[in-house]
Amino acid sequence: MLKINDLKVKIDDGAEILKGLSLEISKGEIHAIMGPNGSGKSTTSNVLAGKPGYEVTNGSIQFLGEDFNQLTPDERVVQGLFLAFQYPVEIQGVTNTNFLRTSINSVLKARGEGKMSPGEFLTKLKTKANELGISSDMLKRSVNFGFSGGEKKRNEILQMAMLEPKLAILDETDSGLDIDALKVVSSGVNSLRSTERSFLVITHYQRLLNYILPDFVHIMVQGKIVKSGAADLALYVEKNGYSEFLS
Amino acid sequence: MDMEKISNEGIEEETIEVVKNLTSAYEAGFETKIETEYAPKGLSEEIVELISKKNDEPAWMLEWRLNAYRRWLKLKQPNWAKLNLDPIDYQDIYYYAKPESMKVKPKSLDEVDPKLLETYEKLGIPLKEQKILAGVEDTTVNGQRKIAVDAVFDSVSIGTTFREELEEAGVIFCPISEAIKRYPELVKKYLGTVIPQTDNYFASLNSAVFSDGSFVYVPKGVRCPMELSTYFRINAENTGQFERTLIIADEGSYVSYLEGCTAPKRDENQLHAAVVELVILDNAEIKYSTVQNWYPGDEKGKGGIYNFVTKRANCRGVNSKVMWTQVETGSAITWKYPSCILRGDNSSGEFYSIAITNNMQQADTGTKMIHLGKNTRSRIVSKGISAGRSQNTYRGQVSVHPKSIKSRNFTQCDSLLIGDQCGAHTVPYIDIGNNSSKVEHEATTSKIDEEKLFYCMSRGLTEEESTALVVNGFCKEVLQYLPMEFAMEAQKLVAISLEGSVG
Amino acid sequence: MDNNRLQLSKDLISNLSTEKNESCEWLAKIRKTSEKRFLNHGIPLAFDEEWRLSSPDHFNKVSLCSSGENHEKAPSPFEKLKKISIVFLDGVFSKDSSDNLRANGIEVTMLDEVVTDSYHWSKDIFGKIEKNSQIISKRPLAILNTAFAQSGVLIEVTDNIEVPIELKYVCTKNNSGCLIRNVVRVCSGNKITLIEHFEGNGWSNICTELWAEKKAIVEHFRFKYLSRDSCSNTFLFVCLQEKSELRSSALSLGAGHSRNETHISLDGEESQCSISGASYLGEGKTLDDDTVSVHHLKPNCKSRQVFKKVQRASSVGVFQGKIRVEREAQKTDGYQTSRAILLDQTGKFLAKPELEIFADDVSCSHGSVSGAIDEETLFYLQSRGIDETLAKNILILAFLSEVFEEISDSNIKDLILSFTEKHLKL
Repeated sequence: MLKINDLKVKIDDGAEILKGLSLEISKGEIHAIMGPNGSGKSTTSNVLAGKPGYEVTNGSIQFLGEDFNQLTPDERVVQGLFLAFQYPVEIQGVTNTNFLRTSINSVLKARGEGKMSPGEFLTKLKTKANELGISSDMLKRSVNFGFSGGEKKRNEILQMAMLEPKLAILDETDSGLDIDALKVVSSGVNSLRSTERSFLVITHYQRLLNYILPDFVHIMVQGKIVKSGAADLALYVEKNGYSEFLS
Repeated sequence: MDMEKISNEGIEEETIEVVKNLTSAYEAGFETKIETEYAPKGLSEEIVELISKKNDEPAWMLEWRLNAYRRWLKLKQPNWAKLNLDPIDYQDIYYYAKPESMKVKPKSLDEVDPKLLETYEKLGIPLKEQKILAGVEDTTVNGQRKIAVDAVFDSVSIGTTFREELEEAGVIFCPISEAIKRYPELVKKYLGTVIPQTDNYFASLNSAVFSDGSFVYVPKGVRCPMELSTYFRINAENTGQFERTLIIADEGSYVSYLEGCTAPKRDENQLHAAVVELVILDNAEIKYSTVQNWYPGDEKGKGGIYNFVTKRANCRGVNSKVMWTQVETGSAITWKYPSCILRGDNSSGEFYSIAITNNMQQADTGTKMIHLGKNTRSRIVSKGISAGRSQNTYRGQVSVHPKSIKSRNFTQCDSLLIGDQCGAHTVPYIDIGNNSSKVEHEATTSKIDEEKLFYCMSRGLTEEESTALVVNGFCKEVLQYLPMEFAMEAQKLVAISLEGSVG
Repeated sequence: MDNNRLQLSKDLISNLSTEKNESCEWLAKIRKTSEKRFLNHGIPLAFDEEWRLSSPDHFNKVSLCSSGENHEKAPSPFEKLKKISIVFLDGVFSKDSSDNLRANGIEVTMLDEVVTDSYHWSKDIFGKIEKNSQIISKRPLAILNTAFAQSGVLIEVTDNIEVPIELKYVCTKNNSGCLIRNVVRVCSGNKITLIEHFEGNGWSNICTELWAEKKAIVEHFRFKYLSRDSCSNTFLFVCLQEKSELRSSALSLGAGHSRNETHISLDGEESQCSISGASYLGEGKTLDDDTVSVHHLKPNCKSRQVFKKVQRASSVGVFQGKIRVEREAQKTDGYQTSRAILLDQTGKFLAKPELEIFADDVSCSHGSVSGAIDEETLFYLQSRGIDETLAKNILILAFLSEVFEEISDSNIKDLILSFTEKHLKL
């Protein structure tokens, strides 16, 4: 589904962050990338989602056989990508419900499908919001505006549930969450697991992976993956730290 | 409210000490009794020629002055500031006054009239060079940091300390009258390039009649080994002081410069019209701090200095930096806008200001940040305090040129009112010419926090002491940018200048 | 005054159709002294402090505002709103286009109908609030209006009037400039909702003086949907008595050169005002200027200003806002914010937020922020499948809607919101 090959990426001021990243994710798999601060984890998710300010100097990103690098961020969503932000943005003056409706209709339109009827949309929204403990008041409020850290992350998962992506990237979704919030978010993610859907979970700590069980774990250091393994690799890192991978 | 909270907001034990030790209102108000030589009163081409001759200047300098004078004749005194002053009779001022004892230029400070030296001692300005042991790298003397001082008395510089040591580092620090003769190429290259003779009424006047001031050149890659400072003293009656300062920081250099000024108490207003030009080349940095304590006049508004000053820094080089910090407590009238032309890419300008007016004082002061280069940064923090029947205006401009992309400005102007007879005004101009830059401006005006006052008084401080403490807290954000010695001095001044503002 | 200015001022007068109705003596007298006042000052010029940020050229010269195109009827957000419409066609009251003006609670007189020398309530207001406003900033073009405006409406509100009154100014042709003067008095404890609606092209100078008595409430909304070749100078002068309240909002979605000057005198204790404006004009050399002054004269008053502007290529947005607090006006609460989004590298925003404070027990603040659309937010929307153009328009609406939140009449608020949505193709 996703194929990253020898990807090198510079940021605007010239520093190279990704130094030859390669990764392949197949349908239905859950991959986790772990690594210390500054290893390029967030850059990876930003580049995959098409955030401006990064320059790909080498390598390629292929998603379902298509070259991703030429696509705008919204076009990538149409192809089936979703990024749950580490720091979801507050948008004052745009209500959550309106935002989601616009989002879904935009994607459907770009895929050449018809708009979702308001009734269908609202029913789906209510169901998904209930599952994530999101109140109708939160849906009426401005997007993420004045939300607590946990509310913001739950709102990200709600958006994911509504957009039903083929590949979802969770960027440090566990950061700033207490254990209860973490459980809600994880069960939201787990309910979306299917053989058709893949996940890329990016995290600093192993904690999240107790709840979202990965098929593969990759250790990222200084802009590339230095070790890959199964779920137990995360436990190993939790115990021994990253130091042996640094050099 | 607990003490910790107060401390966090800037009221500290040491400030309490400073405030408690206060004595008289305007300590610098004494007069030094000496013989003074004056040029005839009034302004004419002859007077301009005479000043040039007194300074033994080359012909090009005289020509430059005369051009400025002729320009000045065509100009009108600006009236856009929120200042209310009687017309100035420019023909009723002495444009040149020099202590008789300076007639023959002393070779060193040891030869200077003791009465003059005494004046500076009384003002707390160190003019003695403490001997430094050879070979010991030390920037302190008896635990105090070394500061080189140029002492300007009325129209002349009476001496400059630490010159040799500075010369060893390649730094030129001397009276500008001397620089014109010794370093004509440098002066010619830079004088009037930041503030042209035609810039404004008072700059033209200064260009015509300036008599002395300081000149600093810091060569490429040199970090000036000590703080430089100039201390301006007006002593003679009916005399204007027109000093001119030119500081050039060549590529990759750094200098911190301080300036202080005082004058005796007199019933007549006296004119001070200075020009300060800063040139900052690639990767260089200048810090310029002022504690302005000219005689403010009495509580009825009689006397005091009319302070019309043009100060501007030109950040010509890439990554160049300038920081203006000013504490304005003196003068009957203050008209002063230290500005930054951010021409070099990535250059930055900062302006930190405390302006206190009490009694009948009027201040119209602020800054201009002119963003021309790409990715330039500026920051303005202004604290205005009005007491008595004074008027205090912040006037500032932030202008981002269409080509100055990705630039940033942040401005914070806070005004504090003490008593219901004064005024506090904020007049910012914001011009944004492109969309990749971001400009933020915030301003507040409020009265002095009564809860804090009450807290201090309930700890045994008088209302006046409490006011001084709270105001010092209000100013803290700016005070921290002053060199340490100056910061202490400034705290004290803040307290002194508010005397009589309560009760 | 220099001769040049005097000559230009006389030229401006001669270009206006100023056929005078002199049958009302008191009105004639005010006009005569105002003509003198106008000529004493003269038209504004570019170096005047009040015009430093906006060029006065178009507002000064009727001839600069010309187009061959005739105006076509524009859509209105208020079509479905129950209201009483008073329509001025090319500067003249149009009885045919207007509604029946007989309603309970208001007395409506046309300015040119005030013919007798006998007492009319507007005599005590006409020109007075305009004159007061000159203390804070000079507004010679408002004096021009006092001296020469021949049409307009005088509204006295003697009861709560629930239906909004719409003053609609339509310019259909390239005319010789239209001057309109309205005077409104809201008697003690009463309420009015006033909509000013601008449509068409041409040069116009329209001034409304509003007198709010004790505990009166005034809701005011100004909507501009003018063509690119229009030049529209509006004045709103308000005097608020004790415990009275003004809530004025504005939306400009179209204009060539537009300047809205507002002056509020808080002349009674515990009076309050909120003034807001949103604008999103077209590309090109358009000018959108809001010049506001709020004069706190009495204690315990509150004022609030919220202005938002979106600038497109080559367009200029100007905000000048002044809060003056007099010595007597203790316990003043004054707030002001102006924000601009520059959509294009060549758009400009010029601001002069000013505080002039002579009382000590006050809490006043202003803030101003300008910059591009936040990239982080834009990316967030795009990463939810929304394309860039749509995402920008969503963010523009969100930005402007802070001003809509200031509108307290929920009918008008909803109509304005949905109209703007359509305008932005949302």
